[in-house]
Amino acid sequence: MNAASAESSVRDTAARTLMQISDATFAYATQPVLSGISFELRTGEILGVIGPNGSGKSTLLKLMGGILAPDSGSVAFKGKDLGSLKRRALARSVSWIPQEHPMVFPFKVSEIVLMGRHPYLSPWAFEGEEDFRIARQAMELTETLQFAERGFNEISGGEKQRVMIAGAIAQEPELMLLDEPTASLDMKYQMEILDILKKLNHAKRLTLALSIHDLHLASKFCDRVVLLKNGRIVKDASPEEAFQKEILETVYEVKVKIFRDHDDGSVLISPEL
Amino acid sequence: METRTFPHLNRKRYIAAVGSFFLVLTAVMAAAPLIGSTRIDLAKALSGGPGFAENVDANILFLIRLPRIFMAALAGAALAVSGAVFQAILRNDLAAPITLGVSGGASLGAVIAIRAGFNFTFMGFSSVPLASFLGALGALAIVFSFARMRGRELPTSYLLLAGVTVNFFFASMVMLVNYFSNITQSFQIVRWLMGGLDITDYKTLLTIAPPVFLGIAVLIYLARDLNLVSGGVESALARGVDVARVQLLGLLAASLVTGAVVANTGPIGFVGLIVPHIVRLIVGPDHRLLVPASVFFGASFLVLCDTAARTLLAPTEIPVGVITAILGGPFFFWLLRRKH
Repeated sequence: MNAASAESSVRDTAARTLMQISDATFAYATQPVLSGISFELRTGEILGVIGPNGSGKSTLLKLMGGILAPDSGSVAFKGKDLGSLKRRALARSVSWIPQEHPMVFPFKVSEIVLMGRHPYLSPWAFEGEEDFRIARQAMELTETLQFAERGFNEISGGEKQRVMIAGAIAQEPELMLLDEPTASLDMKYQMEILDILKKLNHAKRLTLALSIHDLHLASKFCDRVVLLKNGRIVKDASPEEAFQKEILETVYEVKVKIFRDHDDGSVLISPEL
Repeated sequence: METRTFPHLNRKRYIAAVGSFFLVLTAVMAAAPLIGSTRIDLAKALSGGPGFAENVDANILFLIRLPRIFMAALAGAALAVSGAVFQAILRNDLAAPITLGVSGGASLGAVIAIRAGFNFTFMGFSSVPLASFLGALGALAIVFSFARMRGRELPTSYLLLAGVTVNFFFASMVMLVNYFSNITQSFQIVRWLMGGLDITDYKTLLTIAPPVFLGIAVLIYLARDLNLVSGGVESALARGVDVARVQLLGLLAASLVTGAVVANTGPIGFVGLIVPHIVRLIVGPDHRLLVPASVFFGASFLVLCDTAARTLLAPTEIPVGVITAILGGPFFFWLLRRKH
């Protein structure tokens, strides 16, 4: 293969669809949560899943991670339906991080991160040098190595979130899904998490999809947002285009004022009382 | 070059930890036959002597003590390992054969088989253990049907509530069956319900051992999966664990070992709840260590308890369940205090 065609194949990959969601529907018992969801996720982008409480954000991320299967429609990763993929194979490509991390048993931080290597290990095998190297790298990147020996239940919420991200990095995925990674964290911890994610996105071309409540952070951080209301997509566009007064007022059912930050083009949204 | 390392399990640590627990069991099982209400002379017991029938020492050792010790070891291993696995799969450290209704189910199954006078064998298992296993499975199925709502995880406290309810219900059913039994059956039932390890001959041991060993092998195979499942169903799915398969295999194996043992010994409390806790305080929560260590520690624990049960008030015997509670409780508190 010559240099030119190698380069063009890289560019092809860059624009390639990583995940395709087609007319996906999901209901818990008889309560519909998502209906007619269609969009595609491209390699290397950062997608924000935005919407009010109960709009279906968490459920959408679970469908994308294969945690839940759609009632109808399909979710495909690189052209393959998630239902047809083996769970281990899927976990080597897609990782998912829940919002809460309840842990009944006293695992250490390093043990939690090493669990990310699970899809690469046969049932009888112990983690090997390669696994330790990958886990250590993930802990360095998330600055969690210094408390590797502490109990997971003894560290703070922001630290737990970083440990879970380290575990997800250890899966060596192409796509990372995060359910409200910045919720209930103060500004410093929020920035730490988003910095780590930005680094991963740049350095490893990791594709990211995350739900996030803070629209200002979303507009700073995401390349693209999907706005959900009552389980349907209202808008799928760049943050600048999506965060318009009329759209947000429809989605959130409050009056808002929008301010633009001219330094980085991000938007500040202020609800009117 | 970053040389800093972090805590992890490797083959060396695994062999050292599991090996230590195995050595403890070996020592306990070697010492226990020599202790008892009657002093026996080991040299005399092992000598060809005047012939086995006249060799009292050999009779006590081989026909009374050894089978009972093997029974205690099997029962302790089974109850402890199933407790550890129930706790992992239900993500609740109060889960145990008793709190999940499994003991109650196993009891009811066995009692019905005794009352009905079933007397058949299926694949080498006689009717009472089989009925007991089915009872254990039935209890679990009822308890789990409470928690199976599509797409949602119910808090595991619901499971325990359901389990305790089922256990009470089955205990009442046992009383009902007992009430309608004739005096011989009733005696058999009460005797069985009191629990005990003294009912054994080698033939019975040989029918209990295969299901117990099979169940333990399955649970050891599932050990790393259990680590992930113990941290949550959804995050385990995301890490590539086939959670439904692990739950099914794990619960089947745990019910198999519990049912096989409880059918013969009757319910013996406390082992399944307390041994996994103690072992977890020693080796940590990694099920690759916890599962085999619980097998050996549970076996050692029950052999010791039974040795105490048959010697403390000799020639009277104390029910072994009383000993498991008296020994286990304070030891557990002591470990808990030391750790925190």
